[in-house]
Amino acid sequence: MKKLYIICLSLIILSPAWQQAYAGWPIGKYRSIVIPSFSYYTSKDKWDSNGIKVTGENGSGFTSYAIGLYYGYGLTRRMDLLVNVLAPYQSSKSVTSAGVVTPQNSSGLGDMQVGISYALANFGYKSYLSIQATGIVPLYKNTNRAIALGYGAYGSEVKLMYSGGISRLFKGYYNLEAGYRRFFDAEGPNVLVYSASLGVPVPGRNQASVEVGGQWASSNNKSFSQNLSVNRDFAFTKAGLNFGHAFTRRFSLFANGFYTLTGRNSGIGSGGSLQAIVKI
Amino acid sequence: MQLLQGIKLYAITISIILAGAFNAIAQNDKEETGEITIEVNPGNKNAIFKDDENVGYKLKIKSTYKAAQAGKLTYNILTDDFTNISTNSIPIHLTKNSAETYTVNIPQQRPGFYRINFMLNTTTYDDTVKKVFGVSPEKIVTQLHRPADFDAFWKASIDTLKKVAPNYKVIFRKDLSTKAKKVYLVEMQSYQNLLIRGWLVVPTYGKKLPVHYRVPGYVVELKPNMDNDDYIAFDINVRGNGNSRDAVSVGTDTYCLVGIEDRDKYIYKGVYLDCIRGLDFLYANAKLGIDTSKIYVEGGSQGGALGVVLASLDKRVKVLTVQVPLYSNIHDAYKITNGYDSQVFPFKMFRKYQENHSGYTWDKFFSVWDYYDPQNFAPNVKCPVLMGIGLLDMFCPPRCSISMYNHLGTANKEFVSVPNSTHEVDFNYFMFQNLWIREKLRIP
Repeated sequence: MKKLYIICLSLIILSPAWQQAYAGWPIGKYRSIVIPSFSYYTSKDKWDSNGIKVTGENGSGFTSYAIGLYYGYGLTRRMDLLVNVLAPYQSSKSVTSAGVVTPQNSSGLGDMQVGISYALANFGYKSYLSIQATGIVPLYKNTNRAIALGYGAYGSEVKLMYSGGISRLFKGYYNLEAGYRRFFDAEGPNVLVYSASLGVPVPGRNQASVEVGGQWASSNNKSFSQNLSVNRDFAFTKAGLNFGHAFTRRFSLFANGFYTLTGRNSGIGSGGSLQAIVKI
Repeated sequence: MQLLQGIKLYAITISIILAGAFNAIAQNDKEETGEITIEVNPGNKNAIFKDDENVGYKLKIKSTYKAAQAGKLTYNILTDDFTNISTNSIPIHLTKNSAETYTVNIPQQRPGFYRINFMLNTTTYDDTVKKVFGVSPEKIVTQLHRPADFDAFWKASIDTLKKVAPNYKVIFRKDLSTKAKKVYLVEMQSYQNLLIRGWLVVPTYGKKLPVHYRVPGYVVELKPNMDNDDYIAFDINVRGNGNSRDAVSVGTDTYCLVGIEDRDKYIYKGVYLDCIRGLDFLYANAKLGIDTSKIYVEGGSQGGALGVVLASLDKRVKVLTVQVPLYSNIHDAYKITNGYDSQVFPFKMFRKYQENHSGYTWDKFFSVWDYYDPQNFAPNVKCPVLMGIGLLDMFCPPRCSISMYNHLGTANKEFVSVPNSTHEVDFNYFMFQNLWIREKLRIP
């Protein structure tokens, strides 16, 4: 369980990147989307249980790199099959009172998310209200790891998504999401996830979007420690910018950068990702 | 003096009476000013019901009158060829400035299309709203009037077309092109060695693209289609349409009558073959970036008929979408339009011609049209088909479109019913059509 929290948080922060690719829009029957991605996250300072910034010791910090692979397939006009796997590399440096820096790291397959997305309703085929139900399967065991790759527990998530185009205004698009995630562990946590994004096309087959999102997690384990790994009761809000370019009709590349704006029992960090979107 | 006072008193009295009267009239006018609106919503959004379920409508009747309105709502059901089925009524009572919702339930009906007229008669307002609903349209069975030599006739016609050297010309039109799209005027020789033209619009983004091949409506000029970003757009003007009027240039009143008494001289023989020549052009010019494995044909009205015919005669059509296909099931169209209060296109022209040409019988009419009725081509259509119909369409009665649809030789077909449309479909249909085509052509 050591270093568990911040590691999970980093995965949680990183994982939504691929979701922007299709959001609540159905992929379309018989068609597929493959999204390999590379994500990066780092933090040194943190917010305590009251949301007050605590500066990290010099030399301490946490860094995560993750390679992800998302696959989506349109089973029907409304229903998509989704699979997402992350393979993180976690690196943590803690500093003792004597000033000794202790580096730890671990890597391997992380959590796999498998499930379906179903378009509940469309509004003139311009906007869609969809529900997504996924199961979280840990592809690792945390025993004998210096730092954990995740909670190491099965979980599930149900999410509502409302996505659509804003043709009258500036030919942009929006995506609103709200969901509930539960890890099947005695200490949970129960997590509310939310995000809102707004995108616009940019001349030259580009698009840019801004996103605000976050999580609010609660657990019967309310304790707070400067050692973030023991915390499961947390919250954070992050803001990000995305920029994408379509190289061909089937291949696009998206770059994303984000920063955590506020939080409780969580790290203050920033990161980014690079995603290749391949439509088949 | 007394006389003067008497006149004054008289004038004042009259004024008071008149003022009172005007006031009463004004008050009365005020009470009578208003309107009633009737919103008719079918129980099923597309107004298509099953033959084992009741047909339901909800009517929201709103009154803005300042006086209560009482009366009745009569609903009269008829077959689509105007045979009366039933007439019923329900009482209506609306208080001032109010709205009420009334439910109309109609017993199960046999497969077909039905007219339903809602007639509202209240204290001060009368109105009629006419709607059409369908019942299990896929079960509508109609007779094919396919001549025994139908296939032979068209095979021989295509063979004749093949002997005409196309002499394609592809002329780049810089003046019409944009940074994103190159526009070409294309010319080719078709049946009877007649020159026809079309427009090819090629997006500059992408090397090999699927094709949206549009065939025209009745004497409609097709222009370069600049709206397609993901497809090469090819719009053909068949003989007598748009910029293909060199040899045939007739108006809408007579276009469908040119050569109508002879199957070999009827204008549609050339028109149908022009559409095939358009496909020949696309295949011969694949170097322009045309993905010949992904050619979808679209047409509305006459274009719908042309689309069905083209997909039937030429298997190079991969996907077909048609809206309100004209001339389909021309035998039933004749019967249904017989009941119209006033004639509309196209039978308005056909009937006028028949009236003005002694000896020209309907049997003669059908003996030619049976070679041209899209329904007779339908069994040979094997590609995926999407069809849109307007239930209030008087040009192409829904029964006729659907009966043609039922004869299509593919199970991979869908239709969309738009209840409040006449000879057109709505924006929603086109949004769906876009997704449907992408699905069929596997375009992400």
